[in-house]
Amino acid sequence: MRRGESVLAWLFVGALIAFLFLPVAVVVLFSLNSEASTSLPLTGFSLRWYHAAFADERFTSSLVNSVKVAAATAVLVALVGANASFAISRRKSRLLNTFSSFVTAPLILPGLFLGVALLSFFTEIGMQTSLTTVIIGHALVTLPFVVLIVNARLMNLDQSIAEAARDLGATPFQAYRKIIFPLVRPAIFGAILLAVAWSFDEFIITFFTIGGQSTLPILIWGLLRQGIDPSVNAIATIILGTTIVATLLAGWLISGRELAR
Amino acid sequence: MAIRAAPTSEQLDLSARVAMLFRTREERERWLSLAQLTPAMAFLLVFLVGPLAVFLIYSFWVTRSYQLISDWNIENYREALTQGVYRDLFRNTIEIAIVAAAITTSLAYTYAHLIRFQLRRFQNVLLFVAIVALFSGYLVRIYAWRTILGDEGIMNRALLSLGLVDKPLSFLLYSRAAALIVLVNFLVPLAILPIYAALQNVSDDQIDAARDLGAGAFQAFRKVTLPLAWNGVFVAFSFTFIIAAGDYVTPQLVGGTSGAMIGRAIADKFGVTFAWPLGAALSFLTLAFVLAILSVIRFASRRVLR
Repeated sequence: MRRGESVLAWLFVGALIAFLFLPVAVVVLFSLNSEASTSLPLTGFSLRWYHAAFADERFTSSLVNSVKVAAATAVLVALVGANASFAISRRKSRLLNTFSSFVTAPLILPGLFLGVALLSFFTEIGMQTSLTTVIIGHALVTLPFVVLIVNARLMNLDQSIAEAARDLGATPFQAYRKIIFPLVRPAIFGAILLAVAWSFDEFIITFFTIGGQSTLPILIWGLLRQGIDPSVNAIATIILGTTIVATLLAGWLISGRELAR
Repeated sequence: MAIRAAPTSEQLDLSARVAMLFRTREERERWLSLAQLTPAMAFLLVFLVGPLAVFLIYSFWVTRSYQLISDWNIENYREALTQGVYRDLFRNTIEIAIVAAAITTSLAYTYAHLIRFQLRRFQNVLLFVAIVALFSGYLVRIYAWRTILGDEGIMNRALLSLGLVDKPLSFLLYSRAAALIVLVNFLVPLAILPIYAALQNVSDDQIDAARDLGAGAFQAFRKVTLPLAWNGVFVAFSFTFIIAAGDYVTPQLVGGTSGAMIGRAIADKFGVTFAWPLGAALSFLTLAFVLAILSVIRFASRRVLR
């Protein structure tokens, strides 16, 4: 009975995981296919689509832009978000409660809605769309990641640690810098990595706020509209590789339970 | 070297007051908190509240010869609500999004429930697998489904070579079914997280108590586990419903005509056809419909689960 139940459980869980990762597997497989065809059976192993991608100036410039945007977004949200978490965790007040629900709003709104709203705003205040506006859009959505994750870590910390430091004569700033910050540093880095993963893959907000430039997802979108180009699979695999590695590293730094909130 | 004037009593009073502000530990802490919160607050006020306000204002404006004009009116909302094309798109969108959210939430619930209660030795790994899936591609994923479902795609090739069909099934792609498959595919990981978090709060003792008192497995689930986890389930459903209703890439790349959704029309208003005010009105109406439906579900579920 018990065994039968767990076989069924594994069947469901395995099937769902297969369904979730099927598209990922397809993209990776065809990126390594020697022929341009995107149907089975595979004709042989080759890296030609990666060579084709790296030889294309549009790819290299998009890659550089994607890296710039992800890095700038990560630094911005880490500084702004982690500080906000410290403030939230330190004491409860009505202002802070309002802020906590306010900060998660971008996660709940569809990307399209945020994208066109940001486009309207930048147009209205006369700000040219560029990589800077993309970074602002990405920071808006990744800020809640950082605040929620760092906050989860801070809640798990024993509050008496900071109190002990202060009773021994540390100022609040010293207690924060010397005691609390080192303890939450892994969570901050984990949150940064998730922000990077999200930013590197983001398409909709980028699409509306980038103006004439391009990131990797924007390049893929353009290639899709031009018809079949097998190097799309190689570019897609590069995006997937980056986001999956970043997520794996993040998982090493923060626990799943801190994420499932 | 200038000789400083002696401080007046008023200045003394001010500096004394500033010193007072930082006198106690609580006061110093309050100022530190404020300093740490200000950048995030300012950022959100400018780049979240600002854009939403401008967007709302635009929905009451008009465009004339490719210029936005602040000629206040509710024409955009009237057009969005009365024109048949938008009515059909709204209906399609709500139908597709609600079905997608329902399937997604059921699959995600089953997954979360199984890893929490039956495969608990592996729950951390299996939860992490879901998180990796969450961050592994949006556009890439949707594009991959075209490779899987297209006329020349894996599915049709397999069916052809097995002799099950003699020409490719063109309805696999560009259909409502395709839109649903794709939406469910990228929404499931998002739904797993809040449900799993809610199931964490259901203790084994509570379920055991129900079972000891004679409840069957289903009854214990229905009367104990589900009500306790309901907030998480509802959050998962709401998230997936909102995101599905506002999606634009899925209908564009795999939806076809039967899978056409409002997101594509909204995006067009900000692209080829310069009709931002109408696009803004369509966006707010979509959000309003979705929130109204969610409130009804919330209200109804409260009654049923009591």
